[in-house]
Amino acid sequence: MSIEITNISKSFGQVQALKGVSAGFKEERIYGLLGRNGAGKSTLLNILTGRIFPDSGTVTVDGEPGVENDRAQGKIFLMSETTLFPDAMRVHRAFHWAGSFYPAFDEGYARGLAEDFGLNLKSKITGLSTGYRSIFKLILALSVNVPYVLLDEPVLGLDANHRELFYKRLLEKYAERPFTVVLSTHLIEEVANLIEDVIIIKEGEVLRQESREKLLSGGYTVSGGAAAVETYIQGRKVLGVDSLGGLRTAYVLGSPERDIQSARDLEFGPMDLQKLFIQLTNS
Amino acid sequence: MKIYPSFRLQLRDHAPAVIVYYAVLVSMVIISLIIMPFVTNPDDSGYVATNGVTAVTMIFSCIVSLCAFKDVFFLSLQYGVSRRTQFLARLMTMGTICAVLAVADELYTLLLQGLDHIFPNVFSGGSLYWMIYSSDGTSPKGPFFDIVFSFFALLAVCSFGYLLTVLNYRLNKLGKLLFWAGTPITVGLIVSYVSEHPAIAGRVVPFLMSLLGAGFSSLPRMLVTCTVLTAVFSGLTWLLMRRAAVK
Repeated sequence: MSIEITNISKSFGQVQALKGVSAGFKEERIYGLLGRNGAGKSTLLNILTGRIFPDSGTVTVDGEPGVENDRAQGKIFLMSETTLFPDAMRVHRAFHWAGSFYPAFDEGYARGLAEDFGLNLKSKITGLSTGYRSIFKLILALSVNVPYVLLDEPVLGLDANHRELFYKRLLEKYAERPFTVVLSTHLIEEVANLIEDVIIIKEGEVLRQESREKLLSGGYTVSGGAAAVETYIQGRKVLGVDSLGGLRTAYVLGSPERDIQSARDLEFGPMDLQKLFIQLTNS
Repeated sequence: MKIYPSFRLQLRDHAPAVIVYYAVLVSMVIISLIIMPFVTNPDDSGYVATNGVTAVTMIFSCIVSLCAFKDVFFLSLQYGVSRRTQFLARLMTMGTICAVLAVADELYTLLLQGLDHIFPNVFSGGSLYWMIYSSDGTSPKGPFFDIVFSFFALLAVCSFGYLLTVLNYRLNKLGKLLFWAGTPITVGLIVSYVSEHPAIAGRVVPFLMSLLGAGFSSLPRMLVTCTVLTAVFSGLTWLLMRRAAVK
């Protein structure tokens, strides 16, 4: 049971947004879909949900074609940056229609979440602030009870309190009834401890798809004086180096060798997801 | 299939406009009743005539169809409804709305005819079907024929309006400019050219008249023509809609 994307390509005029992307989202996992601006994350999610068509490639949902298939699409909910709700629609009407299209939609839970976040059910969706529009869409995403929930920039415009509340409710929901979550976000530090698998997209291509643990265990950081760090990293595969005054931090692939002569006076630490992402995607 | 909720969504999208439209028509009758004592006298021949209300309803239904696509399309995609289901639900919605409008038009016409009995020579209401086909007594008349005529005529108009709005959605800026400005200009140029050349006009105008005659000279012909037009417009709509993307 999974969403499988095979060899998806998509161009917008001269710009090739996706270049033969293949990836999979297995059931009951939390994925981080990471990439720089314009990497193709939103395009990929829009293709998964049939909002746009790929130039080539296939999407399957639990083994059946995902494009233009009501049953397959009924298992997916995409919370996107773009608001697709009519101008005049109010929050409670959107909940009502969600209940019509998604039989498992829990309106009581949605209303409870709206109260927690302070969202007025009688507000017009287009009249909501950016933050509350995100909250409205997040509430829908958490209440539809489908196997695959895709969240594109879920915390856009949310203040710290609301972001924390969202992550809390997401984990509660996931613990109570596991489902697949795909988090596409630039706030990597915030979701680093939440995600189990990572897909990194760079310039329309999948750079990495593996578990967060495996990804992070493949490297480490080494910090210390500039000269000592430079000596240590000689001949090693270095992703990048940060400098601050006379101090340096290098991001190195492989396992640390703490016992060798050049490692004295150096500090070793685990690879940080955001740092790794930055180093991997810096062109 | 999410066809039933999609049908309900589209029907719900039309309902307020339909209610407002008939509320306006009925309000006009009520206002006429209220002001009647002040504007009529035995020597005056002034009266309230609303003949062929379906002609107005056709314009209304075309406008409603022109506004029926984008909001519903976006919302349906948000809720995981395929374009095929949306299209099928649209056909069902169109049929239902046209049936409701045809019956409502007939009730409105009957209301005016009823008032004509209460206030002779003040109110007048004849159906569009009666005006076109049966006022000379050559075709059968009655509410059933009025409704059938209105239903098929509205169906063709609605499907045309929907085709235009889907076409407009699919076109890019240049395409919109070329289509919406280019079409009237082209038609204008053709009309001027034909009118300047009597030889061509002598062939084109009779041809068009005979085409209209063949398609609309009797109720059965009109029903066939409207059904064909509805099928053609809907088919073209599907061709445009099946690859429509969010933009």
